[in-house]
Amino acid sequence: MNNKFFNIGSKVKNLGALIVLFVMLMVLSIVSPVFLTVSNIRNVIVQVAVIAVIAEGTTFVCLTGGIDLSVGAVLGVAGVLAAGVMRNTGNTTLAVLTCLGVAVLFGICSGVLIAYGNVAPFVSTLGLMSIARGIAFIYTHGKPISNFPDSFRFMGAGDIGGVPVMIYIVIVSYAIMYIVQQKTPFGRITYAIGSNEEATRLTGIDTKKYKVIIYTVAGFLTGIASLMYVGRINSGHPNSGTGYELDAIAAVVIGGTSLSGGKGSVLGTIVGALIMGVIKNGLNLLNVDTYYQNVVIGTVIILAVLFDRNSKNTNK
Amino acid sequence: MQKQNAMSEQLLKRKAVSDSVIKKARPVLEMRNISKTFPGVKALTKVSLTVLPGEIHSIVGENGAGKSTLMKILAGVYSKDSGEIVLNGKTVTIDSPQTAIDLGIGTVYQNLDLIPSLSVAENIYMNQFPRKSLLIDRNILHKNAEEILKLLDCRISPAATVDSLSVADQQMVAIARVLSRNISILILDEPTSSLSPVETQKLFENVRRLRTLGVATLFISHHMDEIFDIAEHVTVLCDGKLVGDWPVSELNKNSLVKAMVGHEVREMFPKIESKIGGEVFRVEHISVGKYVHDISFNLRKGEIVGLGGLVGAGRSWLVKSLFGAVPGRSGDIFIEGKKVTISHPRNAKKLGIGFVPEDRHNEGLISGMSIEENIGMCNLKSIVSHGIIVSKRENELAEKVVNEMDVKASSAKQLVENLSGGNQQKIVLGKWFENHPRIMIFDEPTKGIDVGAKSEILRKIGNLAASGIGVLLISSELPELMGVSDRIIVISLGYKTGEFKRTDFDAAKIMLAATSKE
Repeated sequence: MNNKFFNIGSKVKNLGALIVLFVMLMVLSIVSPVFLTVSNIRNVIVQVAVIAVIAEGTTFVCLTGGIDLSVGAVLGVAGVLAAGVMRNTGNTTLAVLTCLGVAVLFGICSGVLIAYGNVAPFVSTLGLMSIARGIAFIYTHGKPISNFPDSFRFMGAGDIGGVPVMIYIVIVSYAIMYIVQQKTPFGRITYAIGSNEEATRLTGIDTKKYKVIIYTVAGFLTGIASLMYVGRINSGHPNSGTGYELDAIAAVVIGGTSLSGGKGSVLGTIVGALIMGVIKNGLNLLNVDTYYQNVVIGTVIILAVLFDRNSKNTNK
Repeated sequence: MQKQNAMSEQLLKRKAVSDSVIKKARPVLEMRNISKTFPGVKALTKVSLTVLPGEIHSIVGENGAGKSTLMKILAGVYSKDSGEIVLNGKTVTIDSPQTAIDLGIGTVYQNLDLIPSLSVAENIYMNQFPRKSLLIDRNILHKNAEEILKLLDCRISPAATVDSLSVADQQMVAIARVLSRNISILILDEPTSSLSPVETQKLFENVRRLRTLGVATLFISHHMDEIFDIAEHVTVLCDGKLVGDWPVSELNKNSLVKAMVGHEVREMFPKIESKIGGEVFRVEHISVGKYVHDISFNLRKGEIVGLGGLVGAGRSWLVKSLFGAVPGRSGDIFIEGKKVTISHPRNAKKLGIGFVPEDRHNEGLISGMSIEENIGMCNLKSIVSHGIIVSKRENELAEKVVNEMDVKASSAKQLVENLSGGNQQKIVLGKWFENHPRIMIFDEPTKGIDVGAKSEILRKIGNLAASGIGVLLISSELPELMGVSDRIIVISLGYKTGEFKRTDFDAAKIMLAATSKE
């Protein structure tokens, strides 16, 4: 049988994370009778969906050796501006376009600052994070904008055939981004920039242009995540998305993508996001205090990287 | 702290040494029958060197003759395979840079290795700060630094940070740092490469002043004028072997150049016959910052034009700017008679120019990727269908390159970082050949490649020219350049200093042009 399409490329080395996920699933299904029920699994996926979609963009950014700290705040500002448009015009299409447009605009700003302004990704996205959060508060005066029609809430709260729309979005977006990453020149160039930007440039590729596109894609995906988030909680709150950039980076890192660029894949990232979701869900089911959950997740992040480092060393 | 004061004073109080004393003196340094082999390359074969106290001794030879290796063995950077080093009549073992310094051998490297953000005084006394209990005694530190700098007639403030200084002053700081260790032998590795003529003279004054203090200087330079200006004695190396040593008074420029280029004309690089057609590429008045000045030349179909010169002459800047890889170029570029704009490698590639850069690891290849990915990266158009990379086409293209270039690899999926240097270079060549260029630029394509693969790569370049492509080739190895070029353009210090037709090739004349300093 020809399994070329599912042939996992040389850079997709997320087996470690996958094993961890399986072990966790097995242990939890033994210790908790509720864990392996359809409703609980659906719960886990819905809980990680927003982070998972953001983390797709973060994966691309990290593959170039960059970082994007603005996505959490951009989720917030795009959400409240869309909510405002929704409230003032009642036009769902316009509100959705506003959300995506604002997020894309922030992505373009990051990309241009980084590629053409030579500002370090950490610094430029840190600045944009603060700007985005600031605008969200200025626009709302700190008060949430709530209660939308079902059409606007579709991506976050709707369902098709009993399955939440969020789950479709996660599956479809990951399928698309996986193909983009593994099968298109754009994906290939993303890896190449992270491996060796100068050699890529000397091959006749406009690396700066591609960097802008990569941050723009990350912005677009944040816009999608924002629509999911606002729809789900039925409210645009200026504080929403706080810390999501770090959760997204955590998912990327647990999934085996190297923050120094060139290695990793979105498949690893979805596994990473699921691991974080399963840990939270499992600890809840076992009645562990939420404060402890952070400690566990932090430990998992460090262990993932330690494991990754040392398995790399033994390969050499 | 007292120890350092004593050191500086000792240096200051040394009596001036007269010429007659130097002539009769016992050698301060003898290196006897030094041999050194690097994997695959015999760098030095039984090379000897004798230096008298206070002598200014120049070591000359072509690129790769073994000068730097010999100096690095003396400085404790490399260990010798065999031979003996005798210092002041005693056989010594130099196993680390620290030992060399302790024995009184100080080196100032071309890239100076100072810490830019620290002050002059801190750089000079790094590792040997004068202290007041746990704290650095800044007063003593600055006083000591000032004394040492005075010795070099250098009026820079000890408190200035190094990155605020000119290159010439930074060099003085590097020399002062070495002098603070009470040395008797000073190694200067191409010290004038980034100095202006005035700064060079100032450096020479200081070298002469140190001579009167009994410090012997080993001076590496490629520039004839400088050697005849400053050196008293010359040791010539060629291909890692000693050619001979002479007092400068017994030499003239021509006899020295002849000694440098050696006697054997090697027929390792046979010329592949090529029919030379019309002009494909012409550049006029190209300048790039301070590296390249007003260079014009043309290139015809099927022709190989060699760019000769010393390492650092500006040839890489020239070709990189022509490929659009570095900014700041002025002048005009014509392809097949039409004026073109090249501001990014992307433009150059579209116009049919291919470029094999000097640094294979950082510029030529993407080392984390496989052979087929590297080749595909350069030929995306031919492997993509409806926006998707067709794995089969990518693999076929890579297999084709691997076969045509005789690459030894387990498969096209092998990571390029696991290939030998020669095979890596074949991948770089192959990925560009598949792009069907009109003009190919090679920057030191055989650097760091073993002899067998070397002639193989040169043959491929010859075949490429024979197929009607114009080739621009940089090589610092003269025999190689003379072997394959139809014409050689010589560049020295960013200026075009000579152009030779194949019938006029003469190693000594080319070397003279390459070492001329305007």
